[in-house]
Amino acid sequence: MLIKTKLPWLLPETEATPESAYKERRAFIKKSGLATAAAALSAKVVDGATAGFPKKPNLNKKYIATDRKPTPYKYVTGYNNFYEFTTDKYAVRHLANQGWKTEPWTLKIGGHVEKPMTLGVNDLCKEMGIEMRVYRFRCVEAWSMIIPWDGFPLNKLIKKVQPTAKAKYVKFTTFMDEKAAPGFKGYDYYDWPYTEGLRIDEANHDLTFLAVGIYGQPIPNQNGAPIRLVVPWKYGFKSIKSIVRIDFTEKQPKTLWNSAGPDEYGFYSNVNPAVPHPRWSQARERVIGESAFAERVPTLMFNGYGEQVAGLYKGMDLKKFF
Amino acid sequence: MKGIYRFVGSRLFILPLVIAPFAYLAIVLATGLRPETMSVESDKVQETPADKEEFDLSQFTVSEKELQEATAGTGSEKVANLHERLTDDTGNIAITLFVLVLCLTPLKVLFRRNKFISALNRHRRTVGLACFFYACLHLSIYLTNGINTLLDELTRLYIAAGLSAFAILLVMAVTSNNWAQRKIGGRKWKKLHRIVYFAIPILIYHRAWAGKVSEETIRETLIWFSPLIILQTLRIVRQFQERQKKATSPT
Repeated sequence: MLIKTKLPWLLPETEATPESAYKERRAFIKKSGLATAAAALSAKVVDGATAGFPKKPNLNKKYIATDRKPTPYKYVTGYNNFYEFTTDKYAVRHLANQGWKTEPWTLKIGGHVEKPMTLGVNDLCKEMGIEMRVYRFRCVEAWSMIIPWDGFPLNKLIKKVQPTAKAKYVKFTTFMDEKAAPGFKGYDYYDWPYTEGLRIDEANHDLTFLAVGIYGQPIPNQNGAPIRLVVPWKYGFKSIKSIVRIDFTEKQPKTLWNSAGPDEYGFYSNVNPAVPHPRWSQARERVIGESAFAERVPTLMFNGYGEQVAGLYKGMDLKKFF
Repeated sequence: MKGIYRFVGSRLFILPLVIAPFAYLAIVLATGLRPETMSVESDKVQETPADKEEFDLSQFTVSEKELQEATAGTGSEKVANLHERLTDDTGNIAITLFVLVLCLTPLKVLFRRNKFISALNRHRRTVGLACFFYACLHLSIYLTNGINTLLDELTRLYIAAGLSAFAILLVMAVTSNNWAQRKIGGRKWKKLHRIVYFAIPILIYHRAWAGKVSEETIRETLIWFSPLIILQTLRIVRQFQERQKKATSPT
């Protein structure tokens, strides 16, 4: 007989595990025999991929999506949209790990800022400090995941570079290396490199996150190594991968998907079950990792982050500014 | 030589074409629907409620194998979204069979004396029904999204196109047996089955707009349908010529 008990990921925040217990558990795992091999391997990865990545990021319990179970790691790292490599979501994992170098990596920050700078991602990790947040992730293709990201809020970095009064938008740009990824030539009708943008208040929002890890491990290439954006209340394509430039602009920046299909992908692209994509409904989503024939579940306004972000769009017609 | 034509015209010849996609789907289902993806590990939790906290934390650890596969890109698991895969695959199989069956008639018109092509043309009904069968699978898998998704998407032109193409195939499949053929009458039946030509543009649209990238899928779809488009065009030209010849010939 199936006995329905309250699952741990349904815990309210007040009942969540205290951080000390969490850390103890990590230490325990490290000591135990089975995990030693894993630890040794991950240590190697840390040295190679992102030396600035901490051994154990702290879980920020304020940001845990407790309504659903985290998506298994193999799905998070094995089902990716990364058109620079291929449009086949299962093949990105292979193509992104064939010699594409994501270390060392520098991030250039410019535009309307007091202090333009070029930073190594490793140094940035050390300086900003890394925390883990468990966010919902909703793709425009109507599927979703729950992902534990490691990183820091973007506003921490914004504070460091001090935008001027002219900075109304933030523009993000991805790498463009035709030798490293076949998509630049293969899909030449896109306006490469991939660019994305946020309004400055969106960028400054506490939920807006720069991720350098997943599941406490440095972020794999296919997920946007070594540093990517995570905006949990917007469709996944807004969360640009492998960032090389951040520019503060006065005008709304051009973004790749908006240029490719202005009727289908808006600048804002907030998760909104009431505004369908011209070709399909956005009211429901498929939960990745569930049975193939499970019914879709309802999509939440602003992907469930309405309480935190609805204020940003007060008075705006979200059907017009989709 | 005669033996070959007889073989091509026999049921044995067409059998692999009907069975092969079945075998493929069986493999996908066997590798895809593993217990772990079905049960979502929830049984484990129910057995050890005392370890709730431990379980919660262990959610964020990654096994050595998983880590290695992710960083080397060697993982081969393709079931993250099995629903999407099965939808795409059954749809693509149905469309391939659709293109195939609609190439057979023009080939017959263009090469009237070719015995090989006449033999192939015996399989039109079988291939057509196989196409309908995969369309049924395709639609059934889509419907598992739930009634709400269907109701939401009925107004999306791209979904409506798929459904109307299915309706056309349904009418044809139901009237494809000998009894219905006799009941309706040869001429009328032939006329009725010409509705299949409406399905061509509808299916091109449906296939071309499936997916996020329009331009790539449009290109792909046109290549896919090109044998059909070319052969049907040639056929129309040929039949027009034949008709004119008949009209001008003295007999």
